[in-house]
Amino acid sequence: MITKREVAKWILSKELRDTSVIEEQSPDERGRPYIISPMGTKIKRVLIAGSVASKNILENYTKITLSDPLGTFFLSAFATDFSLEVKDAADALSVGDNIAVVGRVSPFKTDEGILRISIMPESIFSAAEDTINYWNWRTLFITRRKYYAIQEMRKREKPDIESLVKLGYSPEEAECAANSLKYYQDYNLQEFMESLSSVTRVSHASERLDSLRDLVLRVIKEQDDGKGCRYESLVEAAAEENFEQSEVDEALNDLGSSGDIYEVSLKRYKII
Amino acid sequence: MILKIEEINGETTDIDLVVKVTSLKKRESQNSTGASSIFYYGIVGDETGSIPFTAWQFPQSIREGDIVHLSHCYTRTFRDSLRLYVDSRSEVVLVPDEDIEVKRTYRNSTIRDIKPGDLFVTVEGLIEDPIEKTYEKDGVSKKVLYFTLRDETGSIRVSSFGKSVMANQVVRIVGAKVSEYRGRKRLTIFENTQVIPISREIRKEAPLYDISELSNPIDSVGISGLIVNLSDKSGLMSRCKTCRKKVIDIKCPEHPDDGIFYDLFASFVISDGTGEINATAGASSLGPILGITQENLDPETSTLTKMEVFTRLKSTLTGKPLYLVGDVVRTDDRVNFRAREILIMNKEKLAEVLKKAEEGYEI
Repeated sequence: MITKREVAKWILSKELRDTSVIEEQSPDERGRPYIISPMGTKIKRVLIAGSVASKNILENYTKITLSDPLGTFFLSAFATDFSLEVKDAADALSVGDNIAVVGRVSPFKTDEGILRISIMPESIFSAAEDTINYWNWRTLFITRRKYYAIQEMRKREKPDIESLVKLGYSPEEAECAANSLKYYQDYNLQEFMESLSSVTRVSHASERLDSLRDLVLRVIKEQDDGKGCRYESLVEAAAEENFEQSEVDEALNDLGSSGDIYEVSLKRYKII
Repeated sequence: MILKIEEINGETTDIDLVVKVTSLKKRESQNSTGASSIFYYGIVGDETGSIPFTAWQFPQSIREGDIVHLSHCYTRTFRDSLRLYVDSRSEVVLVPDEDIEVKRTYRNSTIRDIKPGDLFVTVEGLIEDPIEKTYEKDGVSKKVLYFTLRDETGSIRVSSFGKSVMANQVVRIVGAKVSEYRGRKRLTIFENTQVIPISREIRKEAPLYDISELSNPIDSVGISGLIVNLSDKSGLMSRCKTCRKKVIDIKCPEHPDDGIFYDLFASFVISDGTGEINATAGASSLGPILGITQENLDPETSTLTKMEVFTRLKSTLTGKPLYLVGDVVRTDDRVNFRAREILIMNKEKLAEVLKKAEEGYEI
């Protein structure tokens, strides 16, 4: 018999952090149980992406905290016979590295009965900035869809998965909505959704900086009189596009660090 | 009471019909204990429509074209379409000297919504890449035309027997037969199928799908995602120059003197957050992004090693947002994706894909 691979769920750190339910298993069920998040997602495996916020190499395992726009994930890469490659990859990470991680969730309850969830990485991939943006947007999109499904399910007298599927939701979204209503009646979904807007703001800020970088590069190229483009010319051109001087400074620093431009003399810039 | 086919309303029991047997086939099946049994299947129709049927018992004297009175039958949904069942409680009585003008019912369908359970469909699309071939039947040389039909939801391969078409023409095909061959949906056009040129704009662009939407075979569709798992079987492989089969040793066991060539192959699981799908890719899609040309794949001159190609694949494809165009194919009970084009998304493509995905939902 072919065992179906457990699908890796894309969820934001806040959804995982607010998770408080472990699905009950019947005695004949094998393997780890699912955890069920406030959005109703049944999770055993996740695909997450973000920036390494801290790393701590211990004797048998390496602890990593990974930041996404809503907080942090906690990763534990153990040195077992089956995961030495992953432990090595975790050890080689530096704070600030962008990575995507596929891993299994490992829930445990504290003495106070609070559920804590760490992630045991199975694969760690170095991620480009575009990967992080893609993951942020897709995860946001998927989460929003689940929220709409929950709202739709709330309009019904009792959970009705089929009726949501008929409306155009996927069977999984409809099932998530039913789970959320079953296990998280008192969860503040509104507050959760408001926190998602910060993801949008972060992404918009990143898009804005990208467009300013392009503008700065273009102006330096056009207005380089041989001695380099003047800083004032850049600020003027940016102001016409509604960018602040502080944003120009940020873009210049950024382009300088990435090796795209250099300051040829005081406040004069050239393209490399 | 004798019903007309159009009066059959969903799954129901104890149906009486007077119908014409428009197609009749016999098949032998084996149950789990190995015991074999014969059943009959085909299509019956009347003036109001047609319906597929399965008969566990059927009189041997009945032939295609006969009119029969079927009583105490029932209907069930099988592979997404309603089917009539004739069992041991049913009666099948020949009605001699009668004829019925059978109405063929063709469901209007997009290419995406064509189901293997459909008998005939009406579908519109743009004709691409027609190729004519000849074949022999009963000693007579006949022509068949193969082409791709594309609409906004994907594309499908079509075989046309007796109808000619032109490349880049948009047509409505009324009464094309649906089948599934090697995990891919196909349409067949016969003499009595109508192919009508129509005025309609169809863009030659692969539609973007969420992975969770891909439950049936369809060609020429786009997906985006991140690789979750890259199989270590991926990389460089040797193939026989004659049969193109994978060669594990230095020589093909069937064609040891014919030589080998190198090929690129990747097998991976890709996820877009809505689901995961197993995907494969070959040299035509991997070569451009790995910077490996046909000349690099000549065993006489190539310096490539398996490890080097696998490492290059891993560093190029994993951790990157990918856009894939290819075909969804059914293998056993699940669908797989065969990538024909792989693109690492830049900012512009990323913005386009994310926008399209959000627009795709009409809620």
